[in-house]
Amino acid sequence: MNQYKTNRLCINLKKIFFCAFILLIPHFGNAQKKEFTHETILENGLKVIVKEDHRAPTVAHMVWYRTGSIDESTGSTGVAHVLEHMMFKGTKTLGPGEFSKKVAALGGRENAFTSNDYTAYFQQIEKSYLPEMMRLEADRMHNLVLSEEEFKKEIKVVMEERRLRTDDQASGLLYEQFIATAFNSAPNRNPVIGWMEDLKNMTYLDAQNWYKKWYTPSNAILVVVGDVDPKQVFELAKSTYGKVPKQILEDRKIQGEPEQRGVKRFNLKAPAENIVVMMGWKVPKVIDANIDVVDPWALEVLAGVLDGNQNTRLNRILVKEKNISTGVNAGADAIARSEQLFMISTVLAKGKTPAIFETEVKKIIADIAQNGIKPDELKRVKIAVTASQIYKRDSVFGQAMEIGSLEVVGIPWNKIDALTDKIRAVTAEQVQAVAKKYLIDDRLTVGVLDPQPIDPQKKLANQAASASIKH
Amino acid sequence: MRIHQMNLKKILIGLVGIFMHGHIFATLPIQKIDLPTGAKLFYVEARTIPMVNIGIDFPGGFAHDQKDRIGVANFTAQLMNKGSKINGVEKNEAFIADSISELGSMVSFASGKEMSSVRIKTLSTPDVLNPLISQASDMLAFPIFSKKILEREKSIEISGLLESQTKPEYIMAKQFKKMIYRDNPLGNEQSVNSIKNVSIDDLKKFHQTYYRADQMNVLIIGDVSREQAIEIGTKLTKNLPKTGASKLLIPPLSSLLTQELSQREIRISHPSQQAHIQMGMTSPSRKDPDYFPLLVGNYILGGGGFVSRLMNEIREKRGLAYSVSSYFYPAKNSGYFVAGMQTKKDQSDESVKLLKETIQTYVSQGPNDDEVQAAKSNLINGFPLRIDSNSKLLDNLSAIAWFDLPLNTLDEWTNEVKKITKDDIHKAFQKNLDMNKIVTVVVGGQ
Repeated sequence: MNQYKTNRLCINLKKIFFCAFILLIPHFGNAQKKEFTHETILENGLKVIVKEDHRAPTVAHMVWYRTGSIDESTGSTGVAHVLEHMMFKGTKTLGPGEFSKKVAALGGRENAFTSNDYTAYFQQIEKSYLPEMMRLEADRMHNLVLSEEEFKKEIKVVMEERRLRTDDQASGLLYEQFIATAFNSAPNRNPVIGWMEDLKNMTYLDAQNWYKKWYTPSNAILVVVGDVDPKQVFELAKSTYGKVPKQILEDRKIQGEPEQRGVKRFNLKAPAENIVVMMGWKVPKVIDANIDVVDPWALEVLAGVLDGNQNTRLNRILVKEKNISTGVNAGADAIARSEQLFMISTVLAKGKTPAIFETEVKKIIADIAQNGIKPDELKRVKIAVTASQIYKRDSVFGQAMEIGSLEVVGIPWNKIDALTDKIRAVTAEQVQAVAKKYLIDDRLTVGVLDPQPIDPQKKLANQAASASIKH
Repeated sequence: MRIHQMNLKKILIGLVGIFMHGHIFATLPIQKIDLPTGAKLFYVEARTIPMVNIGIDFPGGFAHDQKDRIGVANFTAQLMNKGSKINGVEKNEAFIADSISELGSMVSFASGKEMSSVRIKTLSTPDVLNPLISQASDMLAFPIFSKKILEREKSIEISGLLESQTKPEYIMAKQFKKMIYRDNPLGNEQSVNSIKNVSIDDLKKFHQTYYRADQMNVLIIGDVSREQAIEIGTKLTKNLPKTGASKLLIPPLSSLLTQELSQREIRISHPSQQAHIQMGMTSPSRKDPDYFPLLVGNYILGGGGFVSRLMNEIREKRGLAYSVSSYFYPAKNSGYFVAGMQTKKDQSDESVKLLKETIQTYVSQGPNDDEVQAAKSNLINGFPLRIDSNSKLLDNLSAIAWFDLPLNTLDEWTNEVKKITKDDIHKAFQKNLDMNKIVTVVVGGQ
């Protein structure tokens, strides 16, 4: 496919887990017409953002909570996501599952998702039913009923989800192990879905405490995009969400990551056919919503230069020319609450070793660090960013995702244009500089999937072969 | 995230109507135009965003491949953007990738069971649109199939296939399709050997036979006038053959017959933590009169996201699975019904039993009034969400053109749903689903 990947190549890894939706949004890029977006803050602290899009009579209604897996503590991993499931299990006035029934009867599509950084709930619906969505969502912001009985059933569903997405997926296991190895203390070392033992030991009280602590207006952002009158939406917000009592949020402790001092390596055995290699370097992100920095943006551009289309450096050299990889991805997130890695990952071609891959990747990086990038390479990344600003307008939901995912890390919607400008302003020299500064061994973690046969009788033959994949 | 509603999408790809509770909004009109090249153009004008979505669909997929070289359709599509003569000059895959990127556009080729297709997304400004269409036209007509690139793509495909073959969901789906399609070419699946047999000559021949203007539906939605759309459609197909040997028809799929349980229930062992379960049988095509009763009825059984009977029995009441659903997959001249889930190994027998009981009860007793009302209400009220973007409209256009449905299909869709009664659903399920014919595959179970 000839498609320039403007966003998050590391999403290719993350989507294995949770954020399938993030694929829809280029983080950056938006011809954000300011007159169509409106904002207010309710007395209880809830921020409300409304973007008008009158192309079709539909609306996306989302509530984002600034709470994700990185706010969890040891022993309770996965509770943010478990609570997300429990949010469908009834309130003081609604029985379990009734929320979904009401949305379905009105023709709505609904879901929710949890990431390292946030938890979000949404409905897409014909515009005349927006008031009912707001009433329902505001209700479960403070009236949730968390029963032990419902919890005991739902925790089983979450364990099935973990088996499906992680335990039976070699690449899922590898990624989980990868972040747990790369980070010593940063809380995104724990998987969003939680470790299985923690899920087994979790009780409904854990979920209840989580809800009480975080589900409050001043920790949330309401985003409405679609064929609406902003004034009416603000009024509705006041009469629904406005009734949720104000609550003081506890201060969060920032849990950082100590400096890495040398390369980290591990192997993971799981049933699979091909060898998978993941390489990740610790890189900076935008901090305290200060977007006037260069390095995170230069790293985004570097990812585009390495893996933007079929002819960018990693694909051309590793897949097309040297036949080392069957596919390769690169990427980094500039905007996040959690600590970030610049990831390069691959499924190796038959007979190729992780060592060959690593050597070749380092050669490609060294070439950029020493000789820089070509003007055409830079130009293509910028064209992709510009075009994505137009394309994204085709999706109401995508526009709501963009606003929410930025606001939730403290970047206001009216900075969306500025973010695009930051990417456009990156120079070839800056891309060269970040390659040199950050993609070095002292920041690197390398994880290798050592594939095991699904037929145990073939195990012996494989053990002989696996010796060759050690670095 | 709780669950993907992809199954729902599969069923509903390409339908829709209008009109709810008093307020009416009209769907954008679809215009069908015969192009001078022999291709048929389906065009919808949508001017608010300066972009255009274009699709080209034509018969030619796995089902058209010879048994010993299944993969020809696939590799032909894969190599369409990896070398061609453009403006009479040979250009390589690097040039093609970069030139499209420099226009900020996207061009992709793919092949499926019965059809191959092209998808283009581009800005509508002339300085982008004109060079892109001109290049895409040459790519369609003048591919250069390089042996070196074919061998590379084959080995990548084989790696992926071998990986899939370790996965319970793939093993299950493959076995299931084998039992549904039997000898029909619709069941064609690539194997390592069939891929190895694919040659450059096969690709050239496939391209000559199937990349034919007279077989193509060109779909255009976006910021272009009718005249521009005709020009684009004509330009894209003008260098392609207008006719050819007609090998396009696929033999009809015969319905499954009643069989002993031992003949239609397959269990395959696997060390995965979860058992993967699928059951189903052949079902009517898209144009069958039972289409709407089955669509509405299946929403109640297993299509309706969090509110279906299967979801309620399996997940909500018992916590047996993260995802459970059913859908009818209506194809051109045939179709199949499938229900599936994944669950911890030691719960697989209980789950198979529950799936069967839930389906059986539904078939024998039919839905109740509340369920029918809830289903219709969802489908009718939710209609606008099926057509609220250009990319969704393109999917609808594709289905209308491919299934040869009336051009007012979208306008009539909600009326069709409204007409369906409890009795229609009950009858359609009794006619089309039979517990003595349904096949079951369990991979990794007890």
